[in-house]
Amino acid sequence: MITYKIRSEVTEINKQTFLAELGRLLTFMYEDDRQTALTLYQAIFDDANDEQALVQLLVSPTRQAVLLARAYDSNARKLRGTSQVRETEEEDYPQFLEVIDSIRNDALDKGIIFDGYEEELLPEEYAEALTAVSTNVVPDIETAPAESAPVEEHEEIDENQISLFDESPAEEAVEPEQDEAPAEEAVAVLELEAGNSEAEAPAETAEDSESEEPSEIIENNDDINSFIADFRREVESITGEEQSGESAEAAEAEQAPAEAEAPLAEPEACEDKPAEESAEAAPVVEAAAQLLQEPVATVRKPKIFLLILYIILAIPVTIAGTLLLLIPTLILLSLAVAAVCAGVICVSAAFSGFAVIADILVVMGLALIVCALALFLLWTFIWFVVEVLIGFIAAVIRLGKKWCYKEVPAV
Amino acid sequence: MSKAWRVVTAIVMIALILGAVCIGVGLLTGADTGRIYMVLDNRFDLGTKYSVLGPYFTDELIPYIQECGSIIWNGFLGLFR
Repeated sequence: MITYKIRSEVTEINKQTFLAELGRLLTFMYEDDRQTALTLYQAIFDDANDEQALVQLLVSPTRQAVLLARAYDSNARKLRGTSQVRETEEEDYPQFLEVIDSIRNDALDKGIIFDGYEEELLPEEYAEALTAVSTNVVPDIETAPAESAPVEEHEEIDENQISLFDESPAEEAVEPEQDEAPAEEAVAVLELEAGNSEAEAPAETAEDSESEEPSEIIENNDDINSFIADFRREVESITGEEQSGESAEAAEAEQAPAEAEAPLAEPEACEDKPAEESAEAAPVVEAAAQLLQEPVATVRKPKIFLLILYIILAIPVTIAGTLLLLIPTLILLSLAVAAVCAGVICVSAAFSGFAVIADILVVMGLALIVCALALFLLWTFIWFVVEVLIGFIAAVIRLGKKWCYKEVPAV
Repeated sequence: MSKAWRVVTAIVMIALILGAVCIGVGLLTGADTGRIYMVLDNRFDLGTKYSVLGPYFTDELIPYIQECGSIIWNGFLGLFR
């Protein structure tokens, strides 16, 4: 029992790790597509008889990310998102879903997962397109009607997905390990993955020959292995130049928010030069940090002649302007005081000279209106003094500082 | 400052609405404006004050303001001639 529990926990952790890593690597996709891909991978894991065998079949999240990146057409996805282009039904079924379907069929052929395609996981548009192309692309899947693909279920499953953006508990559990892993460990993992892929390549070739798979898939696998090997060499060269894992982590930390803020970035850029971007970003970040850390000490020095000239001109102008502005200010003040007095008189008269309640009501209404006007006039007076009068004097002083002073670096 | 403007405007609007409601209810329930004026005239002597201040406003203050305005306007136009 304990052994079973431990084993189930281990397989669960492997599954979560795989999906979390895959979700991190698929940030080049649009968010809807990323969630769809992760949902389908989750479904494959859920249907798996043996998760370890499935993980071995999938090899690594990096490999799956490369597969999806090669099949992902960002321009077409962008146009699909804006509903500008809908030519044929077959084109609506994206290629990256075909890749996931082929992986699922491969797992089905090898008996790793149950037979039962969860089409309801797909969005409605994909389900319709899938129905149209199922005979050509995915012969094993059930062509359920598109109406049976509620989006709500899809969204519920999305909430359980593991992603950097969803901040799910599983991701939180996995994320610190990824952040703390130094660059050397990443290189080692890539080496291991490359080794696994190389070791599995002959076996896959043998199985491919038995199952009569087309030679394109074998060539595609070779391309992916070579791509991962190239990526590993680039990472090694970067770490060799920097000779420390901390700078690499800083560059990743600077690059990660940029990727999170721009999920609509071109996938080709993410696919082709991820290591080059990080290598380019590191010196830029370091230079920006140095610029921020170095305070530039400056001293304000007056231009004497200009300052004297400005003072001579500014003092009479300021006095004249202030006197002009005092006129409306005093008018506002007198009106406000008069309104307050009228309101008080109305209130006192309402309760002293009238015997009829209707008359008292009318006079009280007048008193309220006059008091409201008094409050408005008083506030306008305060605003005028603070914003206009003082603001005018402050603006004259600010203008003098701007014109008559210059910033000089401190010696 | 903008928040203070909002608060003041809200208070003024509420007071204006309440005042209008009070006047409307008073007039509907039998208030008489002639009677109100008579009571206020008896208390504050409004007729006498109006007879003094009225001609001052109409004969002196308003023409004085108009004359000041014309002087300022002519001086303003004189700057561009």
